Amino acid sequence: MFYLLCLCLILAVMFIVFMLTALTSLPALRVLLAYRHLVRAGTAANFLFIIRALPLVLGIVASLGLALPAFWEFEPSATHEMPGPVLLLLAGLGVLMIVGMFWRISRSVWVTLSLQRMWLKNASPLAENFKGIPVFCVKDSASLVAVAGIFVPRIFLSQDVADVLNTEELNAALAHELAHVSTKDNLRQFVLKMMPRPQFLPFLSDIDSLWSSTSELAADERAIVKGTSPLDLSSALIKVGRLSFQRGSTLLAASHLVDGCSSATHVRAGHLRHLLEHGVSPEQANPTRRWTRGWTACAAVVLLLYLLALWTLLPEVHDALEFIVR
Amino acid sequence: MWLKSSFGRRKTSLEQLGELETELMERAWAHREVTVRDVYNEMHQRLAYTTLMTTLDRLYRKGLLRRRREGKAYFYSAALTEQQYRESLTGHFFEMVLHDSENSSAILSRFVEAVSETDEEMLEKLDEIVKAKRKKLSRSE
Repeated sequence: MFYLLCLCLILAVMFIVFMLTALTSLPALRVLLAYRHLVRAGTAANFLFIIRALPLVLGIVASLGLALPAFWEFEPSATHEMPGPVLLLLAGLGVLMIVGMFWRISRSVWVTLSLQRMWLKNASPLAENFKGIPVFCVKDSASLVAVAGIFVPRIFLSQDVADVLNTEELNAALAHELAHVSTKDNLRQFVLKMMPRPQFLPFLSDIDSLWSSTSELAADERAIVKGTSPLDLSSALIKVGRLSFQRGSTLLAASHLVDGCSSATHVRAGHLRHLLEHGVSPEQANPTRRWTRGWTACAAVVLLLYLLALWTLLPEVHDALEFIVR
Repeated sequence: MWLKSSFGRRKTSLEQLGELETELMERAWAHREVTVRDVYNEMHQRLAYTTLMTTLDRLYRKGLLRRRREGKAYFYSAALTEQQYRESLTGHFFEMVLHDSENSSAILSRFVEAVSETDEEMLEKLDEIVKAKRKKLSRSE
């Protein structure tokens, strides 16, 4: 009974904390949208990712970092207390949430691996890697420039795209993809795809779409800061965009859009127009290193505070758990 | 409703090709034209005549085979070359992954996602600016 109660509590706490934190995402998103003109695309993408990933991180921390030690420490192991209906319901919802996450992520991995396998079957590697990343030219594929792989990135390029782009434009497109690799956007996508998107919280899907568009803008800016000409990048976008359009890719990828007029291509074309007219400064467009340092410091402080406050907090947490059990 | 949308969707012919159908398509590509009797002579140890007749007829209805009648027999030939078929299959899989919201779960960073007419107009505007900038640059040089 002790272990069953413990498991139910962990699941229930994870579900409650996830939902409460997810609900606070909406005001956070509104604040970000209100001040979006003040932040660069890279910073906005980082914020959106944090807003989306935080509910799960806090859910795990609260359940495994607080509820579990509190229960272990203060609950007598010979307890005969039965989980009540509310606790069982919350635990069941927690189970559904976790199963859903595993289902989504296994599906994503399967689709991605199948796609890569299919491309690799029809692909030949280009003689030179692009800045250390292997590039494959795929025959018989719809117009494509994409980077696949979370830990071992590979760039795939379709033959029609390779034919239509000149060397500068091709390098610009590859530099854009390289920017995604350096900001680990595929790993972030992995996390985002895993996140639950309850139907009654539709704005969570909007955050994913916004992140998708914003990360594209950030990759453009990063490529430009690293020396890519905005003109070449724009030409590459125009040519590949037209190829995609001609090949019949006219449907909107609904899952990546907030509304009909804000597809990543639309937003990027507008953004590149702005960059062509005003330019982008390296300080503004390269916040990743500062962000990494800032967040490492924050994580260290939070961990220290957690360790210091843990023994003081545990009795309070246990009292709160008693409330859920009853 | 979600059940209907997930499972009630009509699949395209390329999605529906099974193992036997693929094998028959390969024979059609290899021999240019086949009859049910030809195929049966090669495969009679494994499959019944009626199975082959039904499968060839199904491929014809899917638009993957053409057929002409000579006497009582139908002569089947491939409507697509093997190259076109592979291209369509790869393209189809890619389109399926990109456009089906259920299948947009692939973990990829793409240079260009699906392009709509609105996007195309925006790209036209961008193109005008790019051309103007390039002209200006070449003049200054």
